[in-house]
Amino acid sequence: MFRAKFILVLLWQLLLVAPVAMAQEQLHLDGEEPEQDCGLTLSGKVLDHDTREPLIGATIYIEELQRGTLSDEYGNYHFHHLCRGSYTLKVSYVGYEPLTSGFRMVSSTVRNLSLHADAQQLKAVEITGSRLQEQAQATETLQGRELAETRGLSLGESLKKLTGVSSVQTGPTVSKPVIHGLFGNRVVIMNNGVRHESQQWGNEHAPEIDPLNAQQMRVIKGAAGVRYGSDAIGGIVLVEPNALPDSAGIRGEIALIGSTNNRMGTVAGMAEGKLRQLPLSWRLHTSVKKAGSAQAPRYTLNNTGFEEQNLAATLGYKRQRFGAELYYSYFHTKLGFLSSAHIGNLTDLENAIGRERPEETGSFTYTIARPYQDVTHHLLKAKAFYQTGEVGELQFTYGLQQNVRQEYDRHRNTGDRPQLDLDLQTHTTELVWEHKPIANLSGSIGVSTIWQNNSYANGTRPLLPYFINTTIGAFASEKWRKDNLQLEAGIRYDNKSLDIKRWNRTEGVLRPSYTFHNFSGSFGALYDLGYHFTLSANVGYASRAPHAYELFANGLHNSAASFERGNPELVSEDAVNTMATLNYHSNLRLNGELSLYYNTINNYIYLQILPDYALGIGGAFLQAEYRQADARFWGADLNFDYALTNRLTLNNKTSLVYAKNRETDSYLPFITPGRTDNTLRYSFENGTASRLSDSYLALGGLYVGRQGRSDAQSDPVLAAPDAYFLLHAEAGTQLQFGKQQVELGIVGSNLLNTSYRDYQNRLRYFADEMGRMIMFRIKVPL
Amino acid sequence: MNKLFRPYLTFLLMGTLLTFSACKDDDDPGPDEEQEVITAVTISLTPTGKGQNAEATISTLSGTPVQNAPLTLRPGTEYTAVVTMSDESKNPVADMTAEIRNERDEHLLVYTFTPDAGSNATVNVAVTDTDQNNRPLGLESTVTTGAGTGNGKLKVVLKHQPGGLKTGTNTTAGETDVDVSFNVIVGN
Repeated sequence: MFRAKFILVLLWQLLLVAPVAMAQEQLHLDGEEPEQDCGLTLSGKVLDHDTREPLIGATIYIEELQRGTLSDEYGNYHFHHLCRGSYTLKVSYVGYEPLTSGFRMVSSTVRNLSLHADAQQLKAVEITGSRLQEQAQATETLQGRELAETRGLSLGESLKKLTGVSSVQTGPTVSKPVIHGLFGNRVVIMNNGVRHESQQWGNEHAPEIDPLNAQQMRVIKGAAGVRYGSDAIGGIVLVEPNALPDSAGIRGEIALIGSTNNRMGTVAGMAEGKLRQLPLSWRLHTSVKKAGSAQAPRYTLNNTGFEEQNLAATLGYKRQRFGAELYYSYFHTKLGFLSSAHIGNLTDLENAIGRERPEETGSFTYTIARPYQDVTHHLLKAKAFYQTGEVGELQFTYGLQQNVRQEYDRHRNTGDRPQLDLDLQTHTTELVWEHKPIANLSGSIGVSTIWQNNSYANGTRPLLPYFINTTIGAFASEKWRKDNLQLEAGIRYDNKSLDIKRWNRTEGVLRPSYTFHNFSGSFGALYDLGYHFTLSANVGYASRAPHAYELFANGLHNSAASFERGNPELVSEDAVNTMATLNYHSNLRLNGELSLYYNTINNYIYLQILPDYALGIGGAFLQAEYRQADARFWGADLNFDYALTNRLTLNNKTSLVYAKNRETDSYLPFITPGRTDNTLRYSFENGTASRLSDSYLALGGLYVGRQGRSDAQSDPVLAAPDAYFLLHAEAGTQLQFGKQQVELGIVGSNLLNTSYRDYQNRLRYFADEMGRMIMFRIKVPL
Repeated sequence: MNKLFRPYLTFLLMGTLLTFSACKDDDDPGPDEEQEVITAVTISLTPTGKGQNAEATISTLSGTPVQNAPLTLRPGTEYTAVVTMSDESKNPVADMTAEIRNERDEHLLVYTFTPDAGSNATVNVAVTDTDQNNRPLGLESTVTTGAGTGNGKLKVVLKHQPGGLKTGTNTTAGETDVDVSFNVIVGN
């Protein structure tokens, strides 16, 4: 059933886009000379002029066709499907003088290109990434145009652009990244090189990170505990700001973002520079965001406005052998929660589910009333590196984080005090030594520590107990590379001690304490199967100690009418994740990647709703308790681009996730349904005389299936919602006003204003998702 | 310059680490005094004519709701009933009734009597107090028992209906603050 629907929607999408595609193709062909005898091949080697050694990873670019390629392991390069004609070839390689040569193509030709070493540049040669793919584990990167299109969205919403990544939501304002069906404590987020530590156990606690400060976001999919610590059973999100400027002078940037629907407005500013006299660089980044109530197609989502203030400052000192960086960031948000999602007991929940629309809708407002969250996150980072002779580099990173989370319930007469007031302080240190290749072997070894203290304000809800977490870890990771093959292996050990203090009405303060030993390991292989194929496989092992919340949660969840209880008997969960990826690259028309994965998680920790109710003064509540079971996750990610013409490209991103409780052979709740996103993108040909450049227009459709693997056991409150289809469109360009450049963009989502509910939104019991939204952005470099 | 600078930086980094680690928080968590919770509901009935008063309290201080004694009523009798709510976790016990009365335009008490299987008891509750908008509140009421005898349950629900949700007749709107069921015996 699911499959049939899936195909139907695909067909529908094709039908929808085909006329547009054809019209554009027509347009496109008119402007160009007819293609004839276009089966020619240009190939050859890129060599060092003096030593005649092949240069690996050199860029070869045909200017007229805007096509480029990289030379492979043997220095070979090739272009297929060339037409007769005159072309200009541009060859570049770090440490060499760039080469430009014109030639006439009459028949298939072999041309060897030799480059002259650039005496000036050669001193600082850095040959690190000569491969298209760096590691065997599947990774996805959000940057450039795709990242620009997400400007204005939260971190969790931005990452949804990547194949295999979805999000767990609580209403329109809170979004947490999900990798291959896993999220929360199982996804480690590295913010500018520091492990982001907040109350990440909560589904309604979004990562406290400003995505506007990021230059790139990378997701490593699957168990990846070796480098950044155990816990990363689901994967890792790396949020990286731009590197500090390395040339003297001052520059800046201002960006304005606005949207319809929740009438969000964002102002972001950046200034950076480098001193002339000293190797000191700096950057300041700030952004302010404000949005009002989001609008579902048929009503207002009452009290879903939010505001956010961010500041980040970096100071860097860099010599050839030594460097240091100081970074501070401040994040503050206040975000409202759908008021109708705050309910008293099971009867209220049934009433709410039975309602066609939420009880309170109201009209648009920027005012944020109860219930709301107020969260502040500070991060201070100090980092230093030192070149240990010619053999490697020593890096030390210290991070201090403070996370203050205050939650205000929809209570009556509670004054100004929050009902939940958690304060988490974290110190992280990391010492890593990265060594340069020694006989095909490169890698790093390191140690890291985490010290963490959690407390809550007196008189507020003890949902999470006081705890002190001390973790010490050590790791080693090596990469061996020869010819077409790369092998990599890593191992890590973490020792975590957790000292808990909790108050009990009859026994006073109790101090249970735990020690966990967690190993992580990985083994991967990457193999170049000729020019266009790379095959990689990876087996990762990661083990995660239970979080203090999973052990000692004790409190009422008002949006689920459930009383959540921890389980002090939990042990570490561990996962073995096997993944295989086939990458088909550097082709004229079709390029893409397919990954298959199979993840076995033993002692998987999950929240199980119990069959009997808890009774209190407010009536009956659902009871949920943390349990453990052996689980299995498997699925596939597909991502490909197909160039219909030189200017028109079809992009497909499809991901499927399946999960099962292996012990009872039953479904697991809250698993990502299958999704496919197909986009047709047209890039305009902007002549050199034109004021415009990099202009494009895109139209696409996202289809999310119904979670068919859901039943009364996995979702006892309400069955999984129906599948949905959303239409989206994007456009962007760069404008040149004299010397001033301006970047413009527009993104439209849910263009058909479809009413739908998402399985992974916790508020799906109560209200529809957001309706049509059009977001405008303008960026002015100064 | 380089050689001089390096040890200082190391000290600086180590120094910050020590300073921050030194301010360990040695506080202990205090009792979880959740603000303004209702932990007990008391219903007191006074016959309008001659007869015995009746009173019962349901308390949830121990975790689950416990009723101190059954509410014993006589058949065919009219009572004036008053409901009080309190927070027994505070010392002294805090009265929560006044607060509900202060916000009476946002609150509504709903009474439902369900006889046990085979019981002939009937209990009728008519709310007598009103809010500023002349809509029923329910802290005060008239309870009338029918002629039949037997056991049953009187459910008392306190609804919080802010932001114009209160109409006086809509008993499902809003958030449930209290939902308790008193064991009732109607007999001679």
